[in-house]
Amino acid sequence: MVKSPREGGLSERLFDALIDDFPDHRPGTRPVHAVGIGADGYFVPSHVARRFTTADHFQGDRVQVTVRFSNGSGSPVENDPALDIRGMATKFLLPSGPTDLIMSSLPVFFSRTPQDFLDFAGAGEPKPVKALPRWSCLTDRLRLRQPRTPPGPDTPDNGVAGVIAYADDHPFARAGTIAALTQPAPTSYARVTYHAIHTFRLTDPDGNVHYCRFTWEPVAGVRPETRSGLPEDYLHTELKQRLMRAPVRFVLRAVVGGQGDALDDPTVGWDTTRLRLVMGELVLTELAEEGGGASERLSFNPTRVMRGFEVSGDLVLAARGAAYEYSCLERGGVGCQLGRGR
Amino acid sequence: MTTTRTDSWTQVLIGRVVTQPMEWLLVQFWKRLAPVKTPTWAWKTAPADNLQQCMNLVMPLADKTAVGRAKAAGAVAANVDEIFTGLSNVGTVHFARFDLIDGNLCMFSVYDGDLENYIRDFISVFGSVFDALMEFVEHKPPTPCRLNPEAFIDWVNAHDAFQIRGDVPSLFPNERKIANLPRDVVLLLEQHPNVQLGRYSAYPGLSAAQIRLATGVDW
Repeated sequence: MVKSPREGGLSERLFDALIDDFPDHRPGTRPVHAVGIGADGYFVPSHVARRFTTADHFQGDRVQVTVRFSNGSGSPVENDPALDIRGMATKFLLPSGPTDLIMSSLPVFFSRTPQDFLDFAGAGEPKPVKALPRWSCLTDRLRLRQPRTPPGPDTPDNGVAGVIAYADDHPFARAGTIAALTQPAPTSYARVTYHAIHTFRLTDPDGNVHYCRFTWEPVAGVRPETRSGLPEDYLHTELKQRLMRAPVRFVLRAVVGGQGDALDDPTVGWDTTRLRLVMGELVLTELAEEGGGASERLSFNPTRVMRGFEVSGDLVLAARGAAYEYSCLERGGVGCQLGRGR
Repeated sequence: MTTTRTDSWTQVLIGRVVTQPMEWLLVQFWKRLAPVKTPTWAWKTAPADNLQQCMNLVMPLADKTAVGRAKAAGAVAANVDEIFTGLSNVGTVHFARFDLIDGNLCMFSVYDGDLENYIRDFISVFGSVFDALMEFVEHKPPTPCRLNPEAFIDWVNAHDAFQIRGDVPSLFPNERKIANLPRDVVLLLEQHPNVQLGRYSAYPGLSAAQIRLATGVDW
């Protein structure tokens, strides 16, 4: 029987396992997505949205939001050009209290259960990178494989070999692992599609339940970075300059799951034939603050949801919720506790 | 400019004389040593599983010259009314078009429902068009297709492009190593020269009938 995420110190173990993946982790920062930048704006729900959910932020009025964009790494050293997952955490500032929507550039996750998540995090602990055999490029080509990249002087150790070995043994982790290891740096945080990964349970005004997955699609379009030699903070600089020129916009889309879809398993994607709804538009108008201010301390939690927009039975989502709360308290964050401190 | 042209020409020559024959040999070797199975899709029960399906029929022309292609184009043009009326009468078709691509007459369509039933429908309502088109196609099925539906369905299945659905790892559930997935893809494509890699719909999950009704163009 799978333990509830709050049992057995799972949050603490998950937090510790993630910190172990980043040896230069600095206390007081997030265990992952340590480097980020905040932006403020508002969300305008579509008239379609309220046919599918009674949640307050979809009922028609403009809602103030604060957003934190981030790099996936738990290292406190900013390295925007690195191959990494990007995050977009949104807090809807409703009169009844805030509710969050956490997304990343990863389309599917690599764990089905909290224990898988813990094991995957353990597999990602950095280990010295072995030098490739002299003829590896040739042997890879003869095997019709992608030639491996030799380790560089800046990466004497990493967790890539560990997670690949884990994914070899655990097929459910493969799609997420491949996505995580092949995410190119974007030209801008505003030019990435972000996915909520987990399924959420929406209730419409007639009491019907719809299981949905969410994405933020950038109005500016998706564009990976192809230039080399960019500054380590180019994504932050670009966002500041972009917001000085014009607002940044994203469209919130919901995909409605059907019978037979994996509702509680974030490692499995849904078919593109599923009904897709426009839920509204996000407009970011200004930076939240300069430097590591309020949004860096602010708690975002994927299980901070509300009536009409609730969590599914996804155990990984529940585990993430508890781990985010624990992590927030550990780093002295603001508004950590769910249902309180809003 | 001259240098660029020379380099490019050299690369083309090396590709044709060395790289491509070597790749062909490697594919022949690996398809014997580590063959891959063409994936089949698990049938699910969501209504959307049966909506906006794609058929990408690639029919090699017997005569691939401009004269042969013009004859095939003429046969399509001569039957436009029958095609349009037939597709309307089938009722489940979102889009259909005929293209001439590299010596092939192609029929690409998006339809609701099951492929075999779709084929049966169009055989019954405008099968004579296909009988006319088959005159220009190599290795044609027995005609008239209306009297040979099973043979025609088999022929369509054989000429319908293979469709890749989902992510790459899910195509090869028996693969033991991530590093081998690129090779698995090569071996899969070796089995299927014509492949639909993906698709997009602006309004997934809706049938042709629902769209016509919702937009007020049908009753």
